[in-house]
Amino acid sequence: MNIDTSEHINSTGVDSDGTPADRDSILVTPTIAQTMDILNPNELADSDICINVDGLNLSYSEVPALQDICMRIPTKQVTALIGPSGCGKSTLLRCFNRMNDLVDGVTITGSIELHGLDIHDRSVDVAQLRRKVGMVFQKPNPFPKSIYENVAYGMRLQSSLPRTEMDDLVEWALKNAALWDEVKDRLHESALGLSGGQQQRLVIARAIAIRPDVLLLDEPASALDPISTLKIEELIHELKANYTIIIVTHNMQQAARVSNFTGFMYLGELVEFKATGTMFNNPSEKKTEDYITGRYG
Amino acid sequence: MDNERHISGQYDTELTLLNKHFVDMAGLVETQFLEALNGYLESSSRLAQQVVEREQQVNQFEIDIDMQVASVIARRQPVAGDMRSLLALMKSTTDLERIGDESKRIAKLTLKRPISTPTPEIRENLVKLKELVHANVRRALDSFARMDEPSALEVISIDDEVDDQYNTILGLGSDYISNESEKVDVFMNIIWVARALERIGDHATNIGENVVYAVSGRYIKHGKKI
Repeated sequence: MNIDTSEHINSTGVDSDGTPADRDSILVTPTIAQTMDILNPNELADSDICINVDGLNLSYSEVPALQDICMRIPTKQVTALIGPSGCGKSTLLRCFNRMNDLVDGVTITGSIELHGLDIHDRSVDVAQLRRKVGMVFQKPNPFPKSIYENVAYGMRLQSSLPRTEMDDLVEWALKNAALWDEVKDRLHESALGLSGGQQQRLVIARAIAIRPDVLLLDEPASALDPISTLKIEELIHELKANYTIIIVTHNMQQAARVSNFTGFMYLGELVEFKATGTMFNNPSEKKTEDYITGRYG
Repeated sequence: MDNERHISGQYDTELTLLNKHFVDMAGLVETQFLEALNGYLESSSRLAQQVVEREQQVNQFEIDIDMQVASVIARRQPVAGDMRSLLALMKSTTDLERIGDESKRIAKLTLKRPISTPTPEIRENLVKLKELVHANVRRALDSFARMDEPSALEVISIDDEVDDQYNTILGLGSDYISNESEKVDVFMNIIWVARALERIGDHATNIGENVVYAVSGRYIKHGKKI
């Protein structure tokens, strides 16, 4: 379909030669079905699953916030969580790197496995877990330091790299966060001088600099203008070649654009979880349909 | 579309208006169909002339509806049932326009030459085909208006009867031609009308298939199993 020769900021879907862009994906040989995201997460092999949530319940001071969540989150794919405010989607996201441990009066039952490892097991070092499962928040939160130091910070906590290796790492992370060209001449200026969209990409660079397996994005573009939003979305598409990405968003069109799989949550329950193409074309549950079409539920 | 209202009342108003335009267009096209056929069967050039003159109104409906659907898609980004209903409405509008085209084709045949039917038997079968097709177009439009999937599936299954009846007319015609080869033009005239009716039947089937897609998301065109 060659309507316009100029490129979209968001080129998700197919390469210029018409083949699916994510052809290196571990899933299956690319087919129209894959391009259209009509795979059901339940049909994926165990080896394709990054996070397996089983019977997860969470309550804050005995008020239930998540109820019997079961979901299989695929590796190196983008999974979106949508639902009205208070449905539990951010709470669920924060379970994946045990951020909820910091909340007083929280009770969690059920299991979450990251590549087969129970993240609540006593042997798990939470700091180590959070290195594997990075997180980006709604509001960009760069440290009040230079652009360079923001990216290098996480690695400095882990190990002391020689200067040249650290330079390479910072360049690699900034390039992967699609920010390098905009900041390469002012790496030692304050990160706070960047625009909101640039700051958010810097925070993503900071997150990937320590080479996590999983990136949790909590409303990563909701404070950004439309062009910066599309740049973040395009970045998400590029990052999924190497990372499993889970994104919470209020913007349903954004979920439809960036994700391969979508979960709809309502009142602490996971109502429906399936391939995004199917979800937005023909959801099974009436609650989902009512929510995504903007009806009274 | 779904009976339950959107949070945005303006969205509901737009969808209601769009459906009303579709129903109005369907009413006009049904009139075109009936007057074209009656004009042909009664050799009425007055009816045929009316059909030809009204064709422009049918085309205008198609343009208006296409533009309105494009506008709703651009502004509302419909998904799920809303999106399927809009796609079904837009595609069915194309089918309605084609039914209008076929009706005009029949009307032009009426205007072109004096009508004579080869035999009473062929005429009788042509009337039977007209009634079958009319009933099925009706059923298709009703199923669309009510988003009634069982009724839409009935439309699709009845199309076999339409095809059988069309083939009956072809069979009778070829017998007739072998016996009265100098009257080929009389026979051809009938065949063009029967062919137009058979095509109209196909458009009714398409509308039925569109209703099934809108209601349940099942895509059953081109032999895809129900």
